[in-house]
Amino acid sequence: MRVVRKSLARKVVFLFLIFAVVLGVMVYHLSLLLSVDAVYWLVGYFGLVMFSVLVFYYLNVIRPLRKVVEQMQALLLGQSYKEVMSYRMDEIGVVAYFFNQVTKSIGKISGDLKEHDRMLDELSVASQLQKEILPAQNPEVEGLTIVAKSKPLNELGGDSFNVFRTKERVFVYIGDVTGHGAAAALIMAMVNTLIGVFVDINDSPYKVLVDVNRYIKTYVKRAMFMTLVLLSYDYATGKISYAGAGHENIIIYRKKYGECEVMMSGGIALGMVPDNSNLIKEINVDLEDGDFIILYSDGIVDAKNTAGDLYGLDRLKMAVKEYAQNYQAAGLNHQVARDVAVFMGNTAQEDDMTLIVIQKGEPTPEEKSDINFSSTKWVDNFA
Amino acid sequence: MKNYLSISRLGIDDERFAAFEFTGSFDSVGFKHNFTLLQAVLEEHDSEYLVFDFGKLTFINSRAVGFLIEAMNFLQESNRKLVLVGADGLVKDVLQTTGVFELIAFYPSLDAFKVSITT
Repeated sequence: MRVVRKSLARKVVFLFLIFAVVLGVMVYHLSLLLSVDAVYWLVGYFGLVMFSVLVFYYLNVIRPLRKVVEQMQALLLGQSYKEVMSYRMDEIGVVAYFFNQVTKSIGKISGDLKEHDRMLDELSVASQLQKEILPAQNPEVEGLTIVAKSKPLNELGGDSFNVFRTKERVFVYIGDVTGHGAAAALIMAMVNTLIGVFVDINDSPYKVLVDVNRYIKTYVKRAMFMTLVLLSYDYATGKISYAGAGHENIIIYRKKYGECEVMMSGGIALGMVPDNSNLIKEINVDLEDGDFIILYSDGIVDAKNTAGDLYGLDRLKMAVKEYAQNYQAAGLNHQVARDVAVFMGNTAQEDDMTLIVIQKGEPTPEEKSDINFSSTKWVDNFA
Repeated sequence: MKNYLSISRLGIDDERFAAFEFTGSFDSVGFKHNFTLLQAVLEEHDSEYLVFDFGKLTFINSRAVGFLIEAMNFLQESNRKLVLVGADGLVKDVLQTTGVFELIAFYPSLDAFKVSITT
């Protein structure tokens, strides 16, 4: 019986055989009651009806259904299959239509998955390239302690920072490109490279930013821009100066007075205008040993808590003031980052976050051995 | 993320400018949800000035600043000007910090702008 149930055709044959047996028995009993001719006519007529039913059943059920089943089997076995052409409006037509719709959806999903995998591969490559551009370790610089930490929002962040050393000076920048993703990462990479080139041929942050802006505006047509602060420190004179391109304010903490001073970075973001030479300026900063300069991206001051309040510049200044007297650069960076994390609580990060603490004077051996000193990776868990 | 930005036309009978009031938070979410409206605002009004009233805006980020620069460039192609009015507090700080006010005219209020184009 299990063998018979494998196909409709076999079922029909089986039923036909049973019917034939029943008919045979009927004919025998009828032959006892009717004439031979009458029995023959009856059997013949009945046989013709049965044959017609069988033919009709085969043409309208068995054969069209077999076509659909063949394609379904091919799909299930991973073989090539094709659309089932059917204009029927009955149950067979519904099954054929359903099969065609399912295979169309499968084809689209398969295409989308392949495209998704391809894009993930490309994003992964771009993310890796970006990680290689940004410094993984904080550099050792004569006369300064620089501790930078960054936490991108996703695989391709818009925040960037770097330290470039020339024979006479060191340049430090922090930048933030509009948006996130591949386009922002490309702009970030371009600017990073351009700064690296122009610090070798310019002796001031102002000139570097004018040159970088001119190149960026030439080649980037879309209204993408990058806010940035570029700071330079002259080894011989100890002079610190900076030029801003529409970036967040700079915080200066003077240990002697225990107070924070906020200075506007000024200028206009890179990429907004073809020539920014009249719109940015270079500002000198006098620091004594132990004093701090804090650079940050807007992801810090725009960080929100569960109530929707912003962390803000005032809280940042308070955190710096609270911890700057008792910590060196690495410790201050860690404590401020922890303050931001505590403020945010369980609220999801909404933007890249970068914090750079620069202290006049070189790190002590104890600070160098601080686990927070070397890596530029933001601490994930402040517990 | 919830959209907290709404944009509405200010009913002002002056053919020299069209004014739109922004309320709430002009960030990436707000920009995305109002993208079609923002495009229509730029394309459908051909008055000389397009005024964005930011008096009721509580937050703005770099995505919105990027849109303002694009809007400014788009309007400049047809000799029209983008004007910002009313921004204060955090919003004004951001616009000032990023240098937007170097490129786009700003007035403390819509009335101050009207006076400036009358005189």
